[in-house]
Amino acid sequence: MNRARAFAHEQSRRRLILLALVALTFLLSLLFLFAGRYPKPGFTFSAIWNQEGMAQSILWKVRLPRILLALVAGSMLSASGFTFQMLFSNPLVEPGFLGVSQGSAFGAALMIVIGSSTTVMVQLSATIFGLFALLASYLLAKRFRFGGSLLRLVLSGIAVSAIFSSALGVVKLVAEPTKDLQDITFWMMGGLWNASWKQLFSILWTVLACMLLLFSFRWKLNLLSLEEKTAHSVGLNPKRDRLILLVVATVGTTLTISITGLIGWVGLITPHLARKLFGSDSSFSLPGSMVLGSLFLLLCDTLGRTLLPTEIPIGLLTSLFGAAVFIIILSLKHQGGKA
Amino acid sequence: MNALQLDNVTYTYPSGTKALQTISFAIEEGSSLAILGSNGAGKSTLLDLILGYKQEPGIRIFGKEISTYGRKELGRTLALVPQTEHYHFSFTLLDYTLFGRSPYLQAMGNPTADDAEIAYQALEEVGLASYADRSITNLSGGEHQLLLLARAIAQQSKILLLDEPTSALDPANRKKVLSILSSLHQRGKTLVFTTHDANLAYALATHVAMLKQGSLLCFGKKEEVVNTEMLTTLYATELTVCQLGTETLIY
Amino acid sequence: MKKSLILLLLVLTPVLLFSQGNGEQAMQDSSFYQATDANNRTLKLAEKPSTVLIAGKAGNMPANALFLFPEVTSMDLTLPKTDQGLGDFFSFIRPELDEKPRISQTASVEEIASRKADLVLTKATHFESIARKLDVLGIPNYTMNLESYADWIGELEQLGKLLKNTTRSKELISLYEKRMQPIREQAKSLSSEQRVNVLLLQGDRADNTFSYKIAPDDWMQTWMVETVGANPVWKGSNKAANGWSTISFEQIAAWDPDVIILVSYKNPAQMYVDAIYSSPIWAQLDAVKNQKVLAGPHDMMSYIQPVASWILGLQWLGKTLYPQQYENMGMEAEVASFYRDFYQLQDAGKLDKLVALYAASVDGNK
Repeated sequence: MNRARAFAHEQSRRRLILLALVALTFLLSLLFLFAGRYPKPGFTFSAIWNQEGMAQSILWKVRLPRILLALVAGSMLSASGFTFQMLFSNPLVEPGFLGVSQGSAFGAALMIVIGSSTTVMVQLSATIFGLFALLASYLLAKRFRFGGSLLRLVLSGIAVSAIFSSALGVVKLVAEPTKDLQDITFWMMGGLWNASWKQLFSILWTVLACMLLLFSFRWKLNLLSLEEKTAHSVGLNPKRDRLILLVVATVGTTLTISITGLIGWVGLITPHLARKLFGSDSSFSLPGSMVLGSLFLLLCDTLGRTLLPTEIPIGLLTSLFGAAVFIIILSLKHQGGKA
Repeated sequence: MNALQLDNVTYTYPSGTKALQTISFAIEEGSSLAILGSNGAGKSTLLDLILGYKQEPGIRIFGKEISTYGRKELGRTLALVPQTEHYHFSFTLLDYTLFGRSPYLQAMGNPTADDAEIAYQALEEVGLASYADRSITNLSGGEHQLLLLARAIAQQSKILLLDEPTSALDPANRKKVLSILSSLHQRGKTLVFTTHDANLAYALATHVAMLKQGSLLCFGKKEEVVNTEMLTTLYATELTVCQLGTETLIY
Repeated sequence: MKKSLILLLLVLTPVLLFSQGNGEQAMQDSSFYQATDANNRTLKLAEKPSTVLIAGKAGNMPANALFLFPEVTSMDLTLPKTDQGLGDFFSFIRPELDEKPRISQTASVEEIASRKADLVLTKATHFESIARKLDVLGIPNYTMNLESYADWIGELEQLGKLLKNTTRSKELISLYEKRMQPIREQAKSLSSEQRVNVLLLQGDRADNTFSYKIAPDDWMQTWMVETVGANPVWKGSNKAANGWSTISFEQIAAWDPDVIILVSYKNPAQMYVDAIYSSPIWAQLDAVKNQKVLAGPHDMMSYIQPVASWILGLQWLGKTLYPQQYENMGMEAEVASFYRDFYQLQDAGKLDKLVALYAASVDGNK
């Protein structure tokens, strides 16, 4: 009986940590509302936010939607990265490795160049090409006769990513300068400087729904990382569940990317951090990685928009910090090669 | 009503080759059935069908066709101990055992303290309770097998399916597993296990079904069916059954 | 008699009132600084813009147009950091600009807002990335295209309305027209055999290798060559409409142009001319054999690009390609008169400096 209580105690402890992280994210978001380049670089705590019209505009129309976008995008990309890792039984996978991110960036850019740059069409195109890239990676991996399943998947993912990256380059090359196609650095390295209430709301509900669905599968994800037969034997429907989760994770990712451009490393690194903090049980590490993702992107974006007069592409910062954290994690005590 | 009943079950691979031909037998609750045969005879395929992992009509669990069972309902009735399993994340032993509680969880819910207690008891039964909070990455092969068994025990199902439960074990672990399974059987669990080890079959089973190249060679109580003649036909090798004190030995 | 007088008054009064009302309307309208920009938006300013910021890449183009107006001398101007490497024209005209820190070409919206400008000018290509975002913050902004002759004429007119100096814009337009007129006539008088095959290349240097690029079909560079009556051999070849595209020597050889003109916006063009003349590969080309590889003209900025001095580039092209047609025109005089008329530069020392820079740029051409 004692140990059942110990178990419940451990669950409560994890919930508490989760709550603490959420609170931290909330507090930092509030704090960073007052950071930026206006009226001067850095933090400004003064009555200006109440009094001056321009300051109010910046606070409500520029910074607030941007912070919210960082939180939502960070959470979605993490959730999707985590889900991919469980579904492919591989802690080294993220949507970027399988070409999903590159495919959706290409899809979005293509639609803008074709001229139909209404938000719905851009998002639709991003999603279609993202799903297509996923399918292509998966089918290509099946055809490979070389290496184990992990290696095949990563290799085909690299190939598909490369194809879509090049295609994106071509789109940028032939786009007319009067067509408002963002620089290619935007698509390949991401940026939240287009955040507006309109943009945010165009994806908000769908992305939240995707995250909610992934969240509801948090326990089952454990089992979906094992053999299909095992998952079946404990009462799951692994084929159906895998498909649903894959599609939902991809759609959430592609919608996010259609606004933010490609932001890498978030989906790779925060699941690892979450597992270190909460254990490998996905019922806690999935929500954990979602919160950590929000926090991570919030920090990177705040830095990217405050440090210099110019916007630092967020992908630069996420890969810089993500790689650093990754190296630290890998150098710490090694758990027999498994994460 | 029989715990498990097969009526003329046939299974063909998608490629066209026949894996199983008109298998029919039935066992009551509380029996222990050994599916005996050499490698490639179709034992694992048969087990997959009984598990419901591959769909084929003609298999009834407690009187109901498998296809009429709900997923969770089936999970509460049957549990599987696979031959091996690959894992990619460093779950704890407790986590892993708790996976067996999946059929009892709320739709989108998590395991409760009661589930944890059941999991601990299962770990105790296989002798791994003291390692409950350790990572599974540090387990030996034998301990891993025991863990898979613990998970199935935590599932609290009426029927336990095992795929080659001792084939990869050293004598010490083999004895351990045998004693755990005997104990479960004595307490009323129905066991269905595949093996190519005739000695294990004789030691643990009440009934034996012999499979040769996808067909049922014979089925019945072990005393009736396990004899020199049947075994020689099954394995196409001279085998002898003899008594060694209270034990029966096959070689 | 009285009746017709009353009738006259009755008729005249509403007419007078009407015109009075109209006049008031006109006066009310003209109390705003108002113009339509390159994205077809109408900007209305209640006061004359005194703090002006130029944002985004290629900012030197709208700046260049702005400097044609005398109002610019009283403005608090923030210019973008320029990536043209030939020296800064703006601080030459107004040295005090050197003291004011420039703004990065890719500055964020918050950064622009923190400079508190009355008016932000930017190129039309930055509509989504800059203009629209400034709209959200209520910062008055105005876009310009300035990529073609039609653009320059139309947008100068609008800029005049924005600064409430339509007199000046009319003056500028007629100055351009005056210089364009003879060029058009000369071009028309040419027969098809007289048209020279010209290849205009932008030189680019990376490490110690040189590469050459051609302009898109619809850019001013291509238009300029056509307008003087020459034949731009590269027209139709630049599929990447986005910008300059690198071409291979093979392609140049295939075109075999009569004249090759080198321009550069980062280094003096003569460098590329010298490289070509000293190359054994290029020696086979007719243009090289006939000593017809020329450096394009520039002072601080190259004349062969859509800045206000494009007209000088056009005049130079005419004079260089068809010298008999332009016997009465002297380039150095044209350069000096350009700066006097267009930029109202009177300082003799500065004028001499500009002319000297021009002369040096084309000195290597035979």
